[in-house]
Amino acid sequence: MKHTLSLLKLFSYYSIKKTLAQPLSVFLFVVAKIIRFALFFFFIHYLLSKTRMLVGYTLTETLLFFLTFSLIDGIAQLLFREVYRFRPLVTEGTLDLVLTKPYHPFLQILIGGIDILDVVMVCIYGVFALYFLRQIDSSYSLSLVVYILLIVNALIIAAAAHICILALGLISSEIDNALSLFRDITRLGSLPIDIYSEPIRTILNTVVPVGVMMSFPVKGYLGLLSIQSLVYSLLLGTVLLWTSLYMWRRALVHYQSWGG
Amino acid sequence: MWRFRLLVQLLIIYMLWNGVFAHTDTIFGYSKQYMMSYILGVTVVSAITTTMRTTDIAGDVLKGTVVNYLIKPISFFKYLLAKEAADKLIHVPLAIFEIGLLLVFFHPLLYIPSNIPLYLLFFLSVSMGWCISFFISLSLSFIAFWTTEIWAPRFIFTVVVSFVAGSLFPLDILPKPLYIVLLATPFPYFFYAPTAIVLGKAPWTLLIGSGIWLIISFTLARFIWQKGIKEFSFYGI
Repeated sequence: MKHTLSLLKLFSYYSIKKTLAQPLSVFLFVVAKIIRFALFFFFIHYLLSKTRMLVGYTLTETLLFFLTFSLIDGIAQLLFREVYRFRPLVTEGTLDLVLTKPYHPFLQILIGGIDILDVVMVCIYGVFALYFLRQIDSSYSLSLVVYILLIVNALIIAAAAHICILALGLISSEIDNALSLFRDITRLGSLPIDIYSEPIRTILNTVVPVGVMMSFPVKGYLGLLSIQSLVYSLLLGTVLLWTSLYMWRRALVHYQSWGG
Repeated sequence: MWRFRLLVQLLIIYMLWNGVFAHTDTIFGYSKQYMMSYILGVTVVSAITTTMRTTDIAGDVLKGTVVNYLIKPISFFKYLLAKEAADKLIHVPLAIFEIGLLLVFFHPLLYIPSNIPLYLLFFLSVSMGWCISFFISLSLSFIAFWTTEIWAPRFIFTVVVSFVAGSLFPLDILPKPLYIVLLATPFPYFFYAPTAIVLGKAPWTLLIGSGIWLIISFTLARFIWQKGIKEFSFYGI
């Protein structure tokens, strides 16, 4: 474990060094991300300051949905950024060099390239989310525990999705479009999933579990989630992670080096 | 994938406004019928005025392949405009198809303008919006003549456009001073002006702003291009 952590630290250090080699670019990207966040935040705030409600949620609750989405999406981006660089490893054959190393390949290809840009943004989302969590007077004592538990569950689902994408990349070298697809679909959870009419809402809670990932943590915090839904979401996270690991192992069996 | 992203964005915005109108009949002076017409209309307009091919030029400058354009006996700007127009032949029908899907699934009540002159003004406004967007996007790509940091400014531009060009909401719902300030920038003329004009929600005088920004953006792009090619040097392989 100590060895794994020191390797992870080393990979993260290299990744941060690489990113900071272009300080102007880093600055501009962070500025752009802050502008995007601020403008959408302003838009929702401005809109709901007139209507007061969105499908039964108050302005504060709606903003918490958006902040929770941003937080989960930001942490997933921060942790799994290296997946975006997986394709060249497969197409150039250098993945063999990773697979033959005496550590789990996920250490390098899944979480080995943390994105420093997202660290800044995750901190901003976290501070805002904490502020709005305090604004909402949750009716039961375990609400914060449930909220954090469901965020962790969302990250497990995100990890599972990224592992599936890696597995797909192994057998088809198709990464970029799959990643875009995943990100676009998760964006549907930037607002309460209740805004969608049926059958989209059911699909987003079952087939493509964006609702479970993005809306359930806030619903759990607000006490709107039944115990069955809570168990369902945790089970779903476990099953998806197990399935993704199975897919990865199967893909590895079929993998043939492209090097040459 | 790009179209899927736009479809997701359309779905989010459509459903957001649908949710907002669940509690009220009118908001910011817009009825649900007008707002939904605006949101679907602006999607078609954005498919027309968003430039796709100009982003490649920055890469061409950095790789040096821009010399291929320089040695050809054709106008670089006209060549790119033709490429963009060809791109529209794919994206505009796809955008209409996506809106058709939404209409089939959700049956929104839409406002269809019956005033023919409005369509002529729309055509003029959307043409100028496309050109302004094209020249500004091209100018951004020309940054590559001086620096390799091309993606961050492009990202900022995309983020700003996605909010202040009117793709999420009609800009006239903003506080009056902010709306007036925005009209002094080129962004409202990309998406908002054509859509609001055809819906009869904005005066034809917005075309004057479009015209002014068209001249400014063309002059700017031309100036940066001429400066850039003087700076440009490349060793062949």
